Amino acid sequence: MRIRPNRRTLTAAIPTATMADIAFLLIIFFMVTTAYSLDRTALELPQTREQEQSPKGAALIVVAADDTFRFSAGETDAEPVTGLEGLAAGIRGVTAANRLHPFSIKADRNVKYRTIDAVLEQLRQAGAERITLLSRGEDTR
Amino acid sequence: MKLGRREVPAEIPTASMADVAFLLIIFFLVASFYSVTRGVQFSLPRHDESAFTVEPEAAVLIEVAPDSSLTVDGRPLALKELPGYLRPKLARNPGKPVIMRTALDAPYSAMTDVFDELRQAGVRNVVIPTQAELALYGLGGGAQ
Repeated sequence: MRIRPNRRTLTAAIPTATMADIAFLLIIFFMVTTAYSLDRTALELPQTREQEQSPKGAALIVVAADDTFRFSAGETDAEPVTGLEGLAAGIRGVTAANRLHPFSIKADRNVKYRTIDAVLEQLRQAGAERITLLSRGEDTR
Repeated sequence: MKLGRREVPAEIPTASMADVAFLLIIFFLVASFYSVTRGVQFSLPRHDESAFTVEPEAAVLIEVAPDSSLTVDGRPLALKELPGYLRPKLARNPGKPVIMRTALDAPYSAMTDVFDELRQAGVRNVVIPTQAELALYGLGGGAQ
């Protein structure tokens, strides 16, 4: 008996259809977990070992090294405000709508505590409760 | 004349889709890396509530000096010794309140360093009274 050699040709193609599935899955993951910065001011943040994610939509108070303030209610980019009075007006605007609205303080590590104390006092007077002091993790340099 | 019947393959080209997808992944990776949204959380006392609902002697009082040195319950203490000092107190009372008073001329990082150390030691009840609050309760002196 003569055995005919099997001449099935194998196509040299790499299946790439599933790669896009995985990639889109990762995209959705990053889209959900990414919280965009409301402020891009270059500051030297204090370093802490403990780090918690600040609540999404938290209002942001930025205190630069030269004691200038920027404020965002949590939806738009942070805008400069004039002194403590301008900041207090912004804070009151947020807490008037929702007293439990969370706040984040992004302050330079070299700022005098006097400024932070004044900011905390404004927050306390406005009735704010949930505060996050933004920091840099010890492992990220 | 006979026309040739070239077969058109019924395939959707998906190779470029993966390229676009990976480009987007890289964008979101970079965006998430650069956003500063992490830190240490605490609660300010409620508006209708006093900052000192506990007896001062029942709480640990930490004072941070302008040169970042610490005085804990009236005794000078190094930052590294703080967990050792607090551990027996927390073992007896896990809800032990700690009042932190930072000098106004101290750098902000001095306050966050102590706060971080307290959190590492397992202290959950940290009270950070403002100068106005301290003055209200007649405890404003000595923090300049």
